[in-house]
Amino acid sequence: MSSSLSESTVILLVEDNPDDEELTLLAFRNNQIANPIIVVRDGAEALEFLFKTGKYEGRDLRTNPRLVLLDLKLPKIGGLDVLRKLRGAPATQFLPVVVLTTSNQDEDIVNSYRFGANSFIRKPVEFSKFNEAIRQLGLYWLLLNEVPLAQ
Amino acid sequence: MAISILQNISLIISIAVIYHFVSRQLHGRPLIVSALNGALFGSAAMLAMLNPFHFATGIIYDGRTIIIAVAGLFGGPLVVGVAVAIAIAFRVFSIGGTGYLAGILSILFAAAIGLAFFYWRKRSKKPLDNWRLLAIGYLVHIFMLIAQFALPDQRWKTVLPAIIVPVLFLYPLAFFFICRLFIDNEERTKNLAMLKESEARYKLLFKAHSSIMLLIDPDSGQIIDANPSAEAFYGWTRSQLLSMNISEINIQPVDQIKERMKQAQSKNKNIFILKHRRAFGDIRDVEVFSSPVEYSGEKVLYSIVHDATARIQAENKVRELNQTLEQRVAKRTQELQDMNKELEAFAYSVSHDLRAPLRAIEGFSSLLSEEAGKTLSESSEHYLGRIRYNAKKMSQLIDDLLRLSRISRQNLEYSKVDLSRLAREIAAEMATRYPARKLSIFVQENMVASADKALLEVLLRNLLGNAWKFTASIPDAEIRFEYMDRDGQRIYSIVDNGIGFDMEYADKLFSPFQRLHNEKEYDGSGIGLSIARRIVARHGGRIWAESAPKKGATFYFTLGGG
Repeated sequence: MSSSLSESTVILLVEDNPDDEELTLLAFRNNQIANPIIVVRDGAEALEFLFKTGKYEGRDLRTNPRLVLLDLKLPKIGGLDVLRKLRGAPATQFLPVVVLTTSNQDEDIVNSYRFGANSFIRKPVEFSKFNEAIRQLGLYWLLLNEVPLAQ
Repeated sequence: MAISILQNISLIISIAVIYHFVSRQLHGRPLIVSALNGALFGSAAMLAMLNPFHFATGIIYDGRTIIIAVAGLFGGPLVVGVAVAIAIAFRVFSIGGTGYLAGILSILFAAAIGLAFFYWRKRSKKPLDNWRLLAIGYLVHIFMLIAQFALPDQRWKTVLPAIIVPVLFLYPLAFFFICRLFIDNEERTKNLAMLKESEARYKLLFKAHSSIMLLIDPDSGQIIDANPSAEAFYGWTRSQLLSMNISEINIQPVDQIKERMKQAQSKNKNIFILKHRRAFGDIRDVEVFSSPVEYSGEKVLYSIVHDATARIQAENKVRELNQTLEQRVAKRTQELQDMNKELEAFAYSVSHDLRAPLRAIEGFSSLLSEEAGKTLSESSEHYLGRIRYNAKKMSQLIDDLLRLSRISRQNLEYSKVDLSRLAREIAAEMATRYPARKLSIFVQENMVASADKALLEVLLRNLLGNAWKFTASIPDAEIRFEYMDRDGQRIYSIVDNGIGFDMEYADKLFSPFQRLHNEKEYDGSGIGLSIARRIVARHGGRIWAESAPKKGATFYFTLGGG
């Protein structure tokens, strides 16, 4: 069925900083990762998208993401709360979530894993390193990694 | 003869009474007492001789031997001396007759024997028991009989058979009973003296002492006695106090006082902290030590009162201060916790928000240089390079600052840390990372400290890393990590023979972002030693350095109690 996670190719980027958004999109393009990327700009919007509520009510099921890139410091609802909520919902409990953020504070890393993040990546300041990080991330999570069928 | 002896005995009994009366009244003037008592015994002997048993003209028998012997035994030399003088004078001048020599001899014998036992008693301190008294009585009267051989014309042949029976049966017995009378009297006098002494002692212990003392009837609470210190303290006179009940002084309810007194009676040692009212209208905090004692045959409470007002007030103040101190500490702790939280929030926000713009600066500069690289002049390319370099550098500085602040904020977890092993592990790691470096590292054995292991690792990594870094240009580089104990304190040292530094800048060494060497030659942001100092400070220790340019450097540190 089309709702199978493995069939979806969409990447959901949760990012409030337009510069970071632009750089991330550039990095994906640089690495020839052609998957469609949907950007949401705060935690509340991310949850609406994932749970198909609010303005995303009745969105096309083919836009179900295969991977979520989640920033932690977000307007309205923080990244960790988003993570906890989507891990609590059956439809998204196994959805791969990579925390992609600026900080490398211990508490952020620990809490991310505690609430069920699959990976924690700190965005390097150097663009060339960031580029490389996105390349490896795409390779791993979009090509190598296997996910179960959605319920 | 028996009747005259009885008369003599009654005479002596009355003397005994007068004798003791005189002794008591003129106590403290022994010479006069002895003279008077001597005269008394002498007069008694005289009276005895006036009432004799006439054997023949000039030969009389009476109780003088008993009187004189008693005078010697109980009165001593002066008493018996006076008595003997009077008796002999009377016998010779007033009575005279043929028996006077025997009379004088019997007086002298009695005096000598009495006096002998007087001294014996004084020296041996033994009591005159009944058998001894009888023995003395017999001795005196055997000598009296012997004195009869001094009668003229061998009159003893007729005298002795006539008097021997009464003299040997009645006289010693009479002597015995009179002596008992004297001994009883003596004992009474002694008891009286002891009583007086104990009264004096009581006076000394109770009246003269500066402690406040009260005797209280435990059943009624009535004050039985109070010493002058109590008068001075309470402000009531003794007679006022003696008319008062303790409940008029103790401000507690009466039933509680009764309870206390019951308790004090049953236990030997009681200490109460009470409040006592005084005549001055004030109330003092007192400490009362109360014990049940026997007083004039009654059980009473003997209470010693200490005015503890100043002490108890001080104690209350200390308690109050402690309480407010606790409150203040709690408040400060809360403030510190709030500040710490704020600092954490600040660090968190720095870590997220300050780095994001740097990433944009670096990212877009990098993209710009990529896209427009060919069209840009060399200097424009250089400027872009500087922008990107500084963005990276700032990002590094932020990371260092965050590391430093984390060390201040994180909790220490103490355990036994083997510094020697830790240092060797770090050295091995550095050696693997830079296999080209040739240097010898010496680490002293058995350096163990109670410390936070993770932080100590950071500390050693920084210090050994520094030593490693600043010996890079030295051909026979050497690093030593050892310790010494000085004044009971363990001082660790990390010694290198590297490029060293000028001691003039030694105080700047441990401030954040201070560098003593240029960045081109030796990389690093200059945060390492600040972190080292913070770690050492968190352990209650101290860190300092000694060096000279090109002479190597030594970093010393202590770890407080550990």
